[in-house]
Amino acid sequence: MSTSPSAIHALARLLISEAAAQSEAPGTDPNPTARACARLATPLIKLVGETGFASLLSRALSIAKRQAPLLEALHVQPNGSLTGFPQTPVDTTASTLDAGTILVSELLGLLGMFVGESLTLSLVREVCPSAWSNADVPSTKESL
Amino acid sequence: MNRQDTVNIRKLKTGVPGLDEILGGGLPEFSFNIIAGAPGGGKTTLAHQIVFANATPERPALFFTVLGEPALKMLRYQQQFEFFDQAKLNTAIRFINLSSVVLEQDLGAVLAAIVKEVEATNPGIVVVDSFRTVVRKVQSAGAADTELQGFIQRLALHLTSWQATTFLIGEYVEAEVRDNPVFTVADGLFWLFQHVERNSIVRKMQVMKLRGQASVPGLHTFRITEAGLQAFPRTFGLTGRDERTTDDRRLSTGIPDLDVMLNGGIPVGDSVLVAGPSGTGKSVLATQFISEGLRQGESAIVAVFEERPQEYATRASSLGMDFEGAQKDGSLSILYLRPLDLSVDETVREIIDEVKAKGAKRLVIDSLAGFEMALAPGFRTDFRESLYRMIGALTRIGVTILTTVEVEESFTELLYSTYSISFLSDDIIRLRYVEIDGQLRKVLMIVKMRGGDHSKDIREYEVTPVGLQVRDRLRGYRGLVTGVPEIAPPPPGPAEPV
Repeated sequence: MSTSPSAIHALARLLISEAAAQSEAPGTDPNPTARACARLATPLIKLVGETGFASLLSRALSIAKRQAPLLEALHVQPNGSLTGFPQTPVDTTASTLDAGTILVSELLGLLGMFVGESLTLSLVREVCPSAWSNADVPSTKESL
Repeated sequence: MNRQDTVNIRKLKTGVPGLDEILGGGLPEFSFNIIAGAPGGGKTTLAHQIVFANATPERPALFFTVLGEPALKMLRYQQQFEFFDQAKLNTAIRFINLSSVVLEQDLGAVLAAIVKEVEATNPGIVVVDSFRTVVRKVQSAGAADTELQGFIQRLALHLTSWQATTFLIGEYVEAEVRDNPVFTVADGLFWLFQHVERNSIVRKMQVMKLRGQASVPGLHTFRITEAGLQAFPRTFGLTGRDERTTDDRRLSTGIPDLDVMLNGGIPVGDSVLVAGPSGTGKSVLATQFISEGLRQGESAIVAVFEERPQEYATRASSLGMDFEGAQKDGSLSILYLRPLDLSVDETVREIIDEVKAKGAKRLVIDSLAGFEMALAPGFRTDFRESLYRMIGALTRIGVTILTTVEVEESFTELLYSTYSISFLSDDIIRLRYVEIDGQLRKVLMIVKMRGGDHSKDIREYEVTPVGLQVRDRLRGYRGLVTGVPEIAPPPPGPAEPV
């Protein structure tokens, strides 16, 4: 796969920024990283199962922690959810959002490595339609 | 009710070269099928090939993965095949993981999950991989056979009603076929076999059951390459051609005196066996046969196993025959067929494809011993049968085949072939050595011509710089066929008066 880290990063940043801008719904995790991962969980669990998604996310988290110590407290649960975020207030500082972007980038990079870039992009767009019109994100015919 | 009133079952292309022919034209639409076999046999790859060949955004394929190979790994590996079209993913082909439903819930929930996805996406193809794991889970939970049978029947009924062609993939052994509800309900049962014989893997497939149409019975060789599965039907793509050619011409061998012995040449569509020990000129005779055909504007194929095409062409050139030019202008193909673990059906298929592509009228197989040695050991048992089918198929469409075979020289008997394939040949030309006056000389004879009369002479010949040249009949000897003739006593003169 001809993975372009900058394209994956742009896609991850888009997911995190959309999650940060999202209004809080009762019962959902207010943290943008948790929200972005939960959004991705829906199509990915359908594709690879809960265990498959949890395995991918824990591997991505393990790699991301080396680059972003802010993620150190996070854990992946068997159902694929992320826990360990500080309860209140929700941290939306640039450094926290960057750490979340790194985690999502690693997750998408791993996914692309296994199932290919075309399917990865297609799955992301299923949950993030704005990725279609984002100039930083390649179309399905281009490589990530 | 006449045939026009019967339901027309559309046949789906499998995307597997050769398999549609084995199936009798393709997969019956809306059928409920099982793809069975041992792990590593190519079941998932076959299902993927069918899916990629048929799925469209309007009639997508649903690929349910259960407890077998994880989707993450399956997609990674399957992408390596050439048929895998990334653009179809998530639009024309959707992968859905059912593992948690199978693990945590009952058969009713599994059926409901499948039905929900089917009704939401209107699929043309549905695959469950591996269905065997569903059955195992149910059986380990102590469910009655009737419960499983009911589930399979409901699944089959629902998917067929929703106009989906279904494939359940499972790791089964042949002994499980009997009394298994899955096999009872199935319309089609496709079994993939593989076994290792010495250093080669032998892969074969069998259509054990196919409702609604006639498939080609028996085991068919298949191979898995970067392009996916490729099947080699035992019919070699030549089904429906039962009538033999009506061409009653005779083809010149390029050796005028031999043509005379053959009563005018080799009848079109005959299979000729040229048998003789090493060094008697079998390949030279074959080369002359091809050269004469080229001279008369007939395309030709030479399948060589013991020397490379360049060497073959160079040898022809030394006899004054331009095989390189003929190869360049497309009238001649020299096929070098000698990869390891070659199956006889693959070899035959290559020859037949080339014959069809060239419209060839003459085919030389040089030699049978080389052909057999090029095959994987496991395929050698099929050699005679496949050869029989190939010769039958090609001669029916008017191709004249000349096959060389080396025989060990015996000085007590006249062997035709150690392969016992002389029954496959319409005509047999035997070359042999004889010891005469302290010299090893060569003689040839026509042993058999199915098409009629032929010369009974045993004639001497020489291999000259321009090819075989047939000399006169050897007279004055008896026991020539033994190789050690004796001078025949002079014929008795007129009786002297007493």
